[in-house]
Formats: sequence, structure tokens, C-alpha cells
Amino acid sequence: MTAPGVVATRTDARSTTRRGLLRLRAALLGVTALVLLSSWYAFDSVHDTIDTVRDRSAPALLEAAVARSALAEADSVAIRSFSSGEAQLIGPGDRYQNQIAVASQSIAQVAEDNTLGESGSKQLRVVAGLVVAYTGWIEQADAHYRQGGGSTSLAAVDLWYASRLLHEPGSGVLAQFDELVKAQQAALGDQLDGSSTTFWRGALVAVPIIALFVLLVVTQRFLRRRFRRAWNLPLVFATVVLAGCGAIAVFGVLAQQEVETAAGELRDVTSTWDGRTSTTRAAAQDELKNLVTKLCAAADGGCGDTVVRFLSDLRQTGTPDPVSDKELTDAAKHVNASVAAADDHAGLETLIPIGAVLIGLSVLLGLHPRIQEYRYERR
Amino acid sequence: MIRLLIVLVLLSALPACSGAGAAGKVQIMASWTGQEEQRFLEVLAEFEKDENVVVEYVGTRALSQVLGSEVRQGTPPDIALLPSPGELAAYARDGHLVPLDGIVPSGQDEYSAQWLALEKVALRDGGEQRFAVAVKADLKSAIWFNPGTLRSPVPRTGEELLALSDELAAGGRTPWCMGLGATPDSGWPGTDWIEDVLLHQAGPDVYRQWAASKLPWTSPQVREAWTTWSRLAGATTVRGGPKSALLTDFVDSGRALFGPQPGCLLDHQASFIMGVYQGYDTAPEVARDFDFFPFPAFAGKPPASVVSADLAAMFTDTPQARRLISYLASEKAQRIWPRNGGAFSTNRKVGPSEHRDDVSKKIATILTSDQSLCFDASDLMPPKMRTAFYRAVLEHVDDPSRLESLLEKLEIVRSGVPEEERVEFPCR
Repeated sequence: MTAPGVVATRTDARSTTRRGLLRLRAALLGVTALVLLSSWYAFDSVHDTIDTVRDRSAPALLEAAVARSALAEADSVAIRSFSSGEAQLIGPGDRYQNQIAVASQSIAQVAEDNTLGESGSKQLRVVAGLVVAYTGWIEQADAHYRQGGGSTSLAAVDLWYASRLLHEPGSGVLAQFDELVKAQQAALGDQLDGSSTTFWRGALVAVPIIALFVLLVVTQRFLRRRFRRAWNLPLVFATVVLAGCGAIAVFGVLAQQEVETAAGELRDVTSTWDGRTSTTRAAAQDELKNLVTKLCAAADGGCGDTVVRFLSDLRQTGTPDPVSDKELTDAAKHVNASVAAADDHAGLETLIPIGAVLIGLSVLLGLHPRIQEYRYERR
Repeated sequence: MIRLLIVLVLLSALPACSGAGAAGKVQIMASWTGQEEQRFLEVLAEFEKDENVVVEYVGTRALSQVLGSEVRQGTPPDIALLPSPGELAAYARDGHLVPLDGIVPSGQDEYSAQWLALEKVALRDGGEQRFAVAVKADLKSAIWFNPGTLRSPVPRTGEELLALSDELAAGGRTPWCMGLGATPDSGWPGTDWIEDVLLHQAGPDVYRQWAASKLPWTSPQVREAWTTWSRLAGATTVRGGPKSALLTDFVDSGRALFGPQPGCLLDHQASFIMGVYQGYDTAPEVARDFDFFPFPAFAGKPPASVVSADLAAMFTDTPQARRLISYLASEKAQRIWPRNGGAFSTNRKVGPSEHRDDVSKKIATILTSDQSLCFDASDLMPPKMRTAFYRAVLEHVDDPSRLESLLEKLEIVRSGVPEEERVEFPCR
């Protein structure tokens, strides 16, 4: 016969064990949910960044660079056609028409991929309106040039107006494009900052994972002490799955680094495009200078303050080495490949909820028989 | 997973909450950039502060092209500031504008009948409705000079002006500064010249008929205006000659007025040029470095002036757009511009004394005086006629010998202007 005090002590011990098991289960499930939420949040922002870069920022920035380059090229070939005399038969030429078509398509594409909302759309419409005005002046130059005689000098004036509409610092089409590209790059920078691997973001992911790991170890030890079993297999499985989730989190960091690298490459490509556009612009402006100064000399007078300012701005312009189409296409392909690699790593995001569900089920499976055991004994 | 969804839903609601501070947004488009834009933004800032509404301003010199493109795409701004009643009429007749009767106070006690008439458009059904408010006016009949370099007395008649120009040229000095470049609408500074000469040589009645596309371009009065302009500002009297005038932007033409050795002595420009002059590197000072005299009338004609105005029209009917257009016409907004300089109000309650300097006060006095004020003819013309006029100016400056053929071409364009597009606007 057992003394009443001893019975009371055993009942207390059973009750403590059951309470402990219930608390451990609640804590394990709670921290598993935390692991799910924190990992999902961290991964999801990386995924969003990759999606934005792949679907919007990269195409918009590359198309904007293409549009700028095509407009500069169109202006250059038009001026050359008029200054060489080819315009008598072919006007500004087929290449001019092609480049204007490329520029129009690219502007439409930039509008589609616009990441700047309504302000970006407005600016693009302003640019599109200015391109219409630009082509109007080139058509006028063509009409004057074909009239021949004294009208050819007016054709040069029309070209001057057209070219200034394109190149005027601050308000010209290319300057407006520059503003747009800067704003898009700033938006991309903000997006990257929003998902960057900071200490707090790392802690947000690591702390729940470590906490869950510690809890799993504590639970194993608790079970070993109270039930004299070496290992609870479902909990071992949960620990292995948790280690997998930790590894996936590392891939998230890797994906972020890859997309940051891709964004850097994107900036490099657009700046290379800009370098080529600058070279084209410099050559075209130089040709325009010859055309205009010839006109002023023929008029036997000064060229006026606007031309003087134009000439002084020309002298300050540098001319970087030209880059071939092939180099630019390869660089753009490389950016796309880098973004795709980042996307592959970020694609592991979907495994996180699966892992969390597996951990939760393993916890329930591992602790359920022990809890049931105690419920049975209490009857 | 449900918790995750709840968190996501809550997170997605955050931006909406954070934007709830402002009571809406209005988009407004105008042609002002640079200093003019800054001054307009100061007017808008008061509205934003008082009404807690965000105003998005788009300024582009290619206003006609950009606005046309936006309207075609179905995304016009809420409000646009049109410098041309001709364009206003075209948009109103095509049903793009919201009538302002009952939305904006009638303004009869604050605006003269002439300005109010400008805001109305005759519709195809024979009716007439108010579609705009005139928010800013400019005097176009002004000839600017540097009091430090032009010692001759100010001409009081058209004949005296011709004599002064001849006298300066004979003395080896270049009378006129000129810049016709104004992309994308190069040529308009020359149309201001033709308008002024025609008004002061042929009188307000002929001017009104011509502005309404009812007087042929080949008529003797119009031809005389072109030849008088050539005589005043021809190949030998314009700085650098005609090619230089064609290649120079109108904002640069006045630079040569200033400095120790001025390149020219007179600049025919609208009153908004004051702000441009003040932005030059040499920082000329109003009254000390530049002043103006009104374009003088020729013998037998009354004193008169060409004026222009910017008309605010509403494309989208929203409560905040209604509030903004009412505010722009209000005495409060109209007082801000003159206070900051370089802009003039048509509101009677904003008197000349509101202006900071004597030159501005002189302009404001003319704008509110009893003399005949005629609206800028090219702005009254339908867009096709206006563009032809701009281009004709460039052709004429390049080669004045082809005037007859040029006037015939302009006449062809005029004869194709439909009757309903001929905006007749009497000089006050």
C-alpha cells in the first residue's frame, strides 16, 4: 500500500509531465509558425525584387537606352543625309525612318514596363509628344531641301530646330529621357534596399530557426529523461527538415546578392549604351556645327548667342570609344542570365511552407503518443 | 497559412492608410518651364496648403503636341493652361472640355467683359458656354531697350519708330535684336511682329477681321504689314542678319542688349521676357538696365495693344479640379503672381500698385486701361492656320523676295479653314 503522500507526489509528477509536454508542443508549433512567417517574409521581398528587376526594371532601362540611342542615331543619319546632298533623292533616308520606328517601339515598351507609376507615364507622354514635333521639323527640312535653290538654307535651319529639340540640355527629348532613367534607377535602388541582407533581416530569419532548433533539442532531452527513449524519430525528422529550411534561407541571401549583382550589371550596360549614344550625339552635333556655321558665314554676320552657346557646349563634350551592337547585346543577355540565376535560387521559396508543415506534423506525431499516454494514466 | 494571409492583407493595406493624408490629387499641364514654372508652383503651393490637395504639375514647351497626344489616348490632365483660344474652341467643340458655367463664379465684378468673352466658346449647336478662365495675361506690344545705351527719345508714332530704326542703322548701330527660334513652335516671335504692325498700321477693325481668318492674306493691309516689318527689321537692321535671327532662340535675343558693347538696341518681345532677362548671367535690373515703350500707332490710328492670356480649361470633372480652377481665377491666386514679379493679372481687383517695380506697374496699367486691347491673332487662329503663319514667318525672314507667293500659300490655308473654326474676338 502506498502512503497517501507518495500517491500525491506521483500524481503531481504525472501532471507536471503532461503540462510540460503540452507546453512544449505549443511552443514548438508556435515557433514553427514564426519560422514560416519570418522566412516567407524575407524570401518574398527578395522574390518581389527579382520579379521587378526581371519583368519591369531591366526591360524598361534597356529599352530606354535603346530609344535614346535610336533617336541620336536617327538625328545623326538625317543630318548626314542633308549635309552630303543625299537628301535630294532620299530625304533623311531609310536608316532614319528605321531608327525612328525603333525609338517609337522602345518608348511604347518603356511605357509598358514603367516602374514609376503615373509620373513616369506623364513624362513618357511628354517625350512621345516631343518626338512627334521632332519628326515634324525633319519632314519640313526634307520639303525645303527638295525645293532646292534658296530653300536649302532653310532646310538647315529646320534641321537646327529639330536637333535642338532633341539635344537641348534640360528640356530636350534626350534630357527628358535622362531624367526618366535616373528616376527608374532610383526606384530600382529603393527596391533593392527593401530586400537587402541587413543584420536585422538576417536576425529575423535566423532567430526563429535557432529558437526552434533549441526547442527540438530540449524536447528530445525532456523525452529521454521522462520516458527513457534514446531518440524520438519524428522530432529527429523535424530537426532535419529545419536544417533544410536553414539551408534554403542561405539560398535566399544568395539570390539577393545575385540580383544586386545583376542590377549592377544592368547599370553598367545602360551606361555603356549611354556612352555610345554620347559618341553618336557628338558626331552628329559636330556635323550640325559645320552645317550651321556655313550658314552663318554665308549670311555675312554673326550666328547669334544661341549658336555661340551651342558651340561652347560642344567643346565641353567628351567622346568615349564607340561600342558595337554585339557587345551591347551580349551584355544585355548577361544581365538577363544573372537575373534568371537569382530567380532559380529564389524559386526555392515555395519549399518553406512545405518544410513548416512537415515540421508541424512531425511535432504532432512525435508528441501525440506521449500526451495520450498521460491522458490514459490519469483516468 | 491563414495567419500569413492576414499579415499580408494587413501589410497591403498600409500604403493605402499612409496616403490618406491628402484630400485627392489634381494634374495640371502648362507650357511654363524654368522661372515661369517656379512662379506658378508658388501659386499652386498656396492651394495645396489651403485645400490639402496634391497638385501634379507637368510643364512642357511642346504643350500642343503633348496635350493632343494625351487627349487622343484618353488620358488628358485634369486641367490644362492653353495659350490659344483657337485650341480651346477646338477642344470644347469636340466635347473634351467641361463647361464651367455654375462651377466657377461668373467673375463679372472682377473681370472685364472682354476677358470674360475670351473664355466662352460658340458651340456647333448655336449655343455658347464658358469653358475657361483667363489666369494670366501678357502685353505683347512692347519694345524693350536698355536705358543706359539707347539715348534717343522714345518714339511716339509708327513713323518715328521707322525713323529711329533707320537713324540707328545709318549711324552704324544695329537697331534690332531678333530670335525666331522657339522649338517646337519656332517662328511665333515673328508672328508677334506682323500682328503689332498690322494693328498699329491698319487699325483694330482690320486686325479683328484678319485674326478671325475673314480678311485675305493677299489683301493690301496684310501685305503692307509684312513689308513694313521687313523695312523695320530687315537684313541690315537685325543683329547678325536674317540667318542669325533664324538660328537664335527668342530667349537669347535680348542678351545683346546688355554689356558694355551692346550688339543691338531694341528687342520686340512680350512682357514675360522680363523674367528671362533677369535670369541672364549679367543679372540685369528692371528699370535700370531694361525698360520698354509700347509699340506706337501709325498716323491716324488709335493707340492699341496686342495682348495674350493663358486660359485654364478643365478636361476632367473632379471635386479637386473644380476647386483648383476656381482658385486660379480667384483674387487670392491672382495676387500671388504679381507679387512675385513677371506675371500680370486680368482681375480688376489686382491693381497696378500690387507690382513691385515701375516697369511692371506700367504694363499692368496698360492691361487695365481704356485703350484698345486686341488678342494675339495667331493664338485665335485654328491650329492649321497658326502653324502655317509660324512657318511663313521663317520663310519670309530667310528670303523676303518671295512674299507674294508666301501670301498666296497662306491664303490657300485660310480658305480651307471651316467657318466654325474662325474665332472672332473684338478688340476692347
